[in-house]
Amino acid sequence: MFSKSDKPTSTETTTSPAPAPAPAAPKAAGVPSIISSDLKVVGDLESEGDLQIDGQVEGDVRSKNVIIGESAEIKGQISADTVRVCGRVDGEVRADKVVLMKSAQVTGDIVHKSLSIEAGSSFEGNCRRMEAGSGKAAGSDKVQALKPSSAGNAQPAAS
Amino acid sequence: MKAQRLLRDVERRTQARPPVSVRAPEVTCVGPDLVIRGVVEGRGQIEVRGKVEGQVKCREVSVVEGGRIEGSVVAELVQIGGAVEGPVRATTVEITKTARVVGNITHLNLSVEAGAYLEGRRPWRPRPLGDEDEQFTFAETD
Repeated sequence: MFSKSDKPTSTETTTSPAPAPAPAAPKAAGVPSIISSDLKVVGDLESEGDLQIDGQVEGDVRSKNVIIGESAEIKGQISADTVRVCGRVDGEVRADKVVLMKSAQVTGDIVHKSLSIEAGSSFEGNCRRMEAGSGKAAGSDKVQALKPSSAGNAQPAAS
Repeated sequence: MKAQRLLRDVERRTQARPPVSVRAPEVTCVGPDLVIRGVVEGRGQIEVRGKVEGQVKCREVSVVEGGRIEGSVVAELVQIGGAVEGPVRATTVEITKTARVVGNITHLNLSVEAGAYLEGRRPWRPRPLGDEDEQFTFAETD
């Protein structure tokens, strides 16, 4: 009858403005996923949360926050909100915020809103800035005519 | 204010920390929000809280309650508290009461807690290979 009142103290008078307060939070937050350095994954990884990869992945990675560790080797596309690369990536990196640390080796295009490249990292490919509207959903639009100016908007790494 | 400054200080310190120096000793954790579609292979330990669709081959595999593997599991030690759909092949298999296993379990040592749901045969097999280290690499042929 009284529709799941698991918090009976405060919200008794309110009828139904906030029907589900709890499920909005990410389920089981705080357990980040780690692919350790001895592990090899041939296939795709998909996550809603944080993901650290220290091992080998042959396939696409889709997540919210991704850290590519120093010992990591990724062959495939990475799309996320935030990507921090310390290892090797062979494929496209597509994220709002891309950070290449000094140990990073990236071969492939980077599509970003904000990019920082630390001195010492190696990067081979085009980088292009995502328009505000396009977002990650536009997964298929390729870099066609890269303007030379768009490759030079890297910010200094020490932010 | 003081509290704000303290907070900023903590923030700066956590950002300045090197990003990947903290590495657990070869333990892979598939978090509850992670889905892996493909073959997972390693020589260490893997803890599945999320979902793996494909084969898992590791030294130690533990499927925590809420975790799920849809595919075969080959390991030295397998602990199952979650769901496994597919053949399990390991020297030692430990199944707790929250587990749900659909598939054959080929084992040398098997322990099952009361309440576990098991579907399939559970053939006993002697050690497939003499070398301790090689055991978890044995072939999938049954």
